[in-house]
Amino acid sequence: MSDEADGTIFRIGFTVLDRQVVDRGGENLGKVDDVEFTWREGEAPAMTALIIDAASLGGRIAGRFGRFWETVLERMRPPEEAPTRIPLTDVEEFAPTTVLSTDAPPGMRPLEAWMARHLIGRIPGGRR
Amino acid sequence: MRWLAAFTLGLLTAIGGFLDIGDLVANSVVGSRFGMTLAWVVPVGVVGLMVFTEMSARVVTATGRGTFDLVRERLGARVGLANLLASYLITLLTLSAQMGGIALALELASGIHYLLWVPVVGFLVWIVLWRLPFAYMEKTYGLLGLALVVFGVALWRMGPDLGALFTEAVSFSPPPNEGAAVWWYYAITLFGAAMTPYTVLFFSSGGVEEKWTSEDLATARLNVFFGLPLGGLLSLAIMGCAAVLLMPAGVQVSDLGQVALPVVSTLGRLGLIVVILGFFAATFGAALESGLAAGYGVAQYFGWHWGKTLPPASAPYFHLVIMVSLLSGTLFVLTGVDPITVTEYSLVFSAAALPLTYLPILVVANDRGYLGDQVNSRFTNILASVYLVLLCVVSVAAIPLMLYTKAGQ
Repeated sequence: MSDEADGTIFRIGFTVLDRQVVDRGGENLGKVDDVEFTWREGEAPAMTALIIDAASLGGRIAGRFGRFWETVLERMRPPEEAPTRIPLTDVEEFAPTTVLSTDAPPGMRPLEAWMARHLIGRIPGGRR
Repeated sequence: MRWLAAFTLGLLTAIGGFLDIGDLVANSVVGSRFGMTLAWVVPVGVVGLMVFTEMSARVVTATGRGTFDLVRERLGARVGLANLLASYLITLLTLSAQMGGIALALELASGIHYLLWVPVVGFLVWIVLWRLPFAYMEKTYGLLGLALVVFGVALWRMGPDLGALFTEAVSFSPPPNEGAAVWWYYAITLFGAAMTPYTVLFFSSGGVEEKWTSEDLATARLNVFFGLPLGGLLSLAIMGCAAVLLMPAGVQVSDLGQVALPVVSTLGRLGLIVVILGFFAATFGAALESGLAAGYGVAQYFGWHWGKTLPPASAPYFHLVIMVSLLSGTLFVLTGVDPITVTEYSLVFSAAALPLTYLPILVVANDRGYLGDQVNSRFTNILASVYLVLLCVVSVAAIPLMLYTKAGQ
């Protein structure tokens, strides 16, 4: 990283992508699978959000396997399981671990929550 | 005194936990076919394991994260995924081999066919992973695994000509009736057994589970530097028993009973009981470790909640991966494949994939961003680089040698 006139310059590939995302309390949320850019008329494109979504990884794996990955995971996804989008304003720190200033986004990964409630949590000892 | 007790316990656990079905089979097969001529592979493997395990311990104490948690960050999504898939499949194969080993040990103890034990074994391993606290689990199986010291006792009771065994060990050539290709093939198998990838995968995430801090580094290092070599000695005792008793008798080791044969014939019934207990503990402990390693790898790649110390409902995907892995292992062994053959193949494939496990450790252990001034010393880096070259050679040679020798026939 090097300082330019108005801030710190960093490479997305090194500092942002694939980092572990944790919430305010240090709980694992996922890895940064992709990033979102917004491009307004007359302005330079700017990074606006981090995406946590295993299917989005397909585009980054590239090639035939990457397309297969993306297609399969998107097909298997239940309708309410939208990719998790973390607005950049919530990010407190990028590296070495991406720390958020907020709690986990509500309703993140409903499939995992469902699994915890109806499958894993149902087995004796699952909630300890 | 508490420190001393903790250290002793850790040391004993490290020795007892060193051996698994791979070491038992590989050392016994090699001893019965090649005598002590391949004994040099064991120290080479153990030193390599020590170097990289110590690095992993340092990464855990400095960052509070497992080494493989960092692989995707440092090597990217694609390489990370390729690494994950290869490691996962090999860990699954190793897990199946261990489960087969537990079933064989139970067959030895009960006389009931091992295939009937397999579902029971799958369930028992799962129950322990589901309920037993982490530290308790590790210590129990590590300490029980010490029963395998019985191989050392048996070797001592046989009173072999140690000088002759030593001369054989440093001769660095196959016995007259064996070809060089087969000899090298088994050298690779033995190396794969000593440096099994799941051990270090488990070790680094296990350290995170036990919340190691910089104060635990000294203890971890002592365990690594003393426990692993003593575990290696135990491997050599197994090889020695086979070399002294099975080789002259022309016994080819093809099941777990033959591995136990030298102990049983020297120490009788008591020896049999102790050795079966040791087999059970070693394979059961390794099944637990490889099952966890499978869960750790997948959960860490995607950044999910993971950990045996968390209530399972807080880490549902982690536990789901473990369950699916155990189920696949159970079904695979239930197909009736010979567990000993599975073990041998798991060792060769492990050997072929060694750089995938050990290169990332070396990369991460040199990263100042994570470790600050705890990064590798120059000495460690030179030693580790030499090993990396060796690992690459082994990895390239493993599969062609397997095909050429028809898996050591």
